[in-house]
Amino acid sequence: MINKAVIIGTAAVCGLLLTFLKIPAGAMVGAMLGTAISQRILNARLDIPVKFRRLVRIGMGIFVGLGITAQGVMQIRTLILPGIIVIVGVCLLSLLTFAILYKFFKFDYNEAVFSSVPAGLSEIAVNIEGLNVDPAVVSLIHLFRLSSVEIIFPIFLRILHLL
Amino acid sequence: MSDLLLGRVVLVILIGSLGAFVAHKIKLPSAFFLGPIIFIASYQIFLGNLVGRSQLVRIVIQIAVGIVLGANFSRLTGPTLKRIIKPAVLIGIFMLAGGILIGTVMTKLFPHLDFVACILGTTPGGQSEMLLIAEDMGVSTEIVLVLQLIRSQFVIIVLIPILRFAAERKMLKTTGVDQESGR
Repeated sequence: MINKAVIIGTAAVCGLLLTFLKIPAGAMVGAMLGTAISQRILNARLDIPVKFRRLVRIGMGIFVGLGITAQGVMQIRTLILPGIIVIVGVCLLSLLTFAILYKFFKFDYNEAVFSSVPAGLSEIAVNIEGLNVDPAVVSLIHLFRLSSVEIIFPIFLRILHLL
Repeated sequence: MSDLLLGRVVLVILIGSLGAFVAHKIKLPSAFFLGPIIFIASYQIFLGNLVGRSQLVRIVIQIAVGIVLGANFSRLTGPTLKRIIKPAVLIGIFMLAGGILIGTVMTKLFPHLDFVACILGTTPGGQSEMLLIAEDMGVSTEIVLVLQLIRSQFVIIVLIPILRFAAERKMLKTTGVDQESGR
């Protein structure tokens, strides 16, 4: 119980600190780092119940939804061609990632395939069943992908803004 | 808090919760995130704005999201971690760079699109987290949402089934055992 309180407290402090430093979504990035680091230091694990995860996602959805306006939605019709670029880009990115994992790091073929596709963890977990793929490897690769993008990206944007 | 504001807040929570419930029932991917967005956005587009968003609520939600994400790091232990740390870090940086490159190309081809919105929309991070970053930076969340949806739905509906099929064929060739029938 004390460990949980320390982890959550650390997360909140780190979140507020990065917000103060004007890192985009600094509260999220700081809380993520604070949670991860304090779990390591305390050698403890914060188990988040599924219901709480769902509540957090509903809260996120509500907050993002409140920012959507009719004017903003009108811009969507300009996104057909950009959408095609996204699809082509995703395919190329996945292919290159697969090549790196398979040829360079000698991953198993199926492990490399499912580690390279930029999907959510739950979609990947469902689709690797029965394929002799180590779920720990694939989910950790994706966890790193998500975390590095979500941590480095806001810092990168902040640096870009300062320049 | 005035009665009117309190009423609107309750309405927002009800609409968002209903959106999550309906999306979950129809098995929409990322139901608990997309459902509230669709319902709240639809209300705002057709019936008018609900409530403003306070900085305090923004920070609280982001901290909650960060805690949930950070809790996943407890899985990083043992020999598996040692094996995958180098490729994982490399792939993370590669995906980040790739997303920035795609977004940059998009901005060059479509100058009317905001640069930051493009790279947030194309970088393969968590869909909801990219939206939170976009929202925090004041860029068009609608553009980021649609581009992220295009990416995620293409991967779920097209790419993963194709890869799954290819992986099963590969297994069949290697082991001679069909995963469906066991023969």
